[in-house]
Amino acid sequence: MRTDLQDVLLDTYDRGARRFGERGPKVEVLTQWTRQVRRRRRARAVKIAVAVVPSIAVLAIGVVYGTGVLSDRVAPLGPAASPAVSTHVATTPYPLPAIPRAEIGGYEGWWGYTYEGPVPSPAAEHPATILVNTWTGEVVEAFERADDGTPRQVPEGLVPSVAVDSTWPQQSIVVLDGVTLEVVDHFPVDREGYVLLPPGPVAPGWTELRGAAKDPYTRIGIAAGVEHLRTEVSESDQVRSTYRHELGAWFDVLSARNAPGDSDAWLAQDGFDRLTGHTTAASSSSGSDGQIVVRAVQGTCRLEATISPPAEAAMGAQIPDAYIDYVADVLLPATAAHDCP
Amino acid sequence: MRPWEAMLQRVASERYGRLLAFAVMLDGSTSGGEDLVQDALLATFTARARFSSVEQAEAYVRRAIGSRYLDQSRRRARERSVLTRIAPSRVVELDVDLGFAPEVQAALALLSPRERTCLLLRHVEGLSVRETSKLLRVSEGAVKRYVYDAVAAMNAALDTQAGDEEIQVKIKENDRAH
Repeated sequence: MRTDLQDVLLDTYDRGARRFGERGPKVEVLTQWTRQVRRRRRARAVKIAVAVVPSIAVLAIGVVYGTGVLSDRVAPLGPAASPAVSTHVATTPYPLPAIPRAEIGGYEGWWGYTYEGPVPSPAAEHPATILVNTWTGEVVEAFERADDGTPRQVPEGLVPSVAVDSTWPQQSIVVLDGVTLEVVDHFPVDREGYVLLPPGPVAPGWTELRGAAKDPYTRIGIAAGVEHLRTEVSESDQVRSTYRHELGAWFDVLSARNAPGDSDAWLAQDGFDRLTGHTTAASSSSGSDGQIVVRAVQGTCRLEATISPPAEAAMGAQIPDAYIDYVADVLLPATAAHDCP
Repeated sequence: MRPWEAMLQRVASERYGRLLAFAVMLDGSTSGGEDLVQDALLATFTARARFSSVEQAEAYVRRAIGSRYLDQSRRRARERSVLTRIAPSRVVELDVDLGFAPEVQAALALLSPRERTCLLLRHVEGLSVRETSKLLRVSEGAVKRYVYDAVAAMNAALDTQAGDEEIQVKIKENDRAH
């Protein structure tokens, strides 16, 4: 007697569920997802608020935050009046506290200084801050500190409206003084709002590889035409190479020390925020004969990086969607331009 | 922790295996399945959907996996056509070595993304033709056609039996049993 198709499919599903059931996401991944959703929900709420109630918001801040700094000298509606760019832009004004700033509302943390303890200078000089995404022109966050230093995030529905000034850094989050609209800081973000941060100092437990020692681990990055910044090895023999694309995005490629060249390379898990928001390449390319492809067109496309298996592509066999950029890059004439999706 | 955060974490931790199994059956690769699950989870909870139970949330995410998979296939149709031109040798859609049910995975690999999505939403998720049609934004006639073709291909590959109507009746009986 022939087996019922639905039984077969349900049995396959059950077997898969049992197989994958033990490999659920780690706690840190769950936390990361929660943060991403939190940020997206906030962005949605802000988008709605900015579109619907900008004038009401400005007035309401004065009512709700009667004693606050922002309430007294709220950023006016309309074009900003030639904001002056301070000399200390794009730098962390003091050592970053141990608390990740992603924990605090979103981008803010340095200037609103939502950490414990006394507020250091120069953050103390800017008790109210407004963050604007210059990709979209939207105000994404606004903070203020009470006289006693207590930080408060302006509720999503009450953030003021600010007109983007053409002199502000593009494709960035711009931190404005909430009173003068002076640009006090900025940092680049991708179109999704993910921060494109440069690599920090070599972390404890890691050692930088220099010269020929790093060469076996940098071939795929160099072949992709991205700038190699640093290669370092951990105490557990994990090798991390950091690259920078000409548009300003950084990403990491990991591999195992003493693996055959880059054949065991994969994109770093912690790189996904800086790239596409996906972790596609992190697990899919492990063990493949990989090569990085970077596609980016400024202003119209996001930067994407994947590691792809040329051996499989050459055979015309398994070609997952994520690898198509690579295949096109290899097989099309070198002069062919990459179209934006 | 807000209610939606607790629900997201419960669904992601307690139901991850089931969601990933469904996504892998659709996509044919573990990594692609993982991406689908992540995308669907984030999209679902970003949309502020409220759920009364983990089961309800899981079903919602699973359906989102189906629709996102098909959307992804549609978006990349143009790239696939380029790929076919430049790599005219045989292109097999799916990796069938996933460590479970390889014969079924191989049979699923014979289906188009639309056929595969409709088949799994109907036969595993238990959606009606109308629900599938609405979710995937295709006509009910198209859903029937895709499922019909998929069932025929699967029956031929696996030596199984079952028509679409039989399956729907069985799902309803199972629902009553629970």
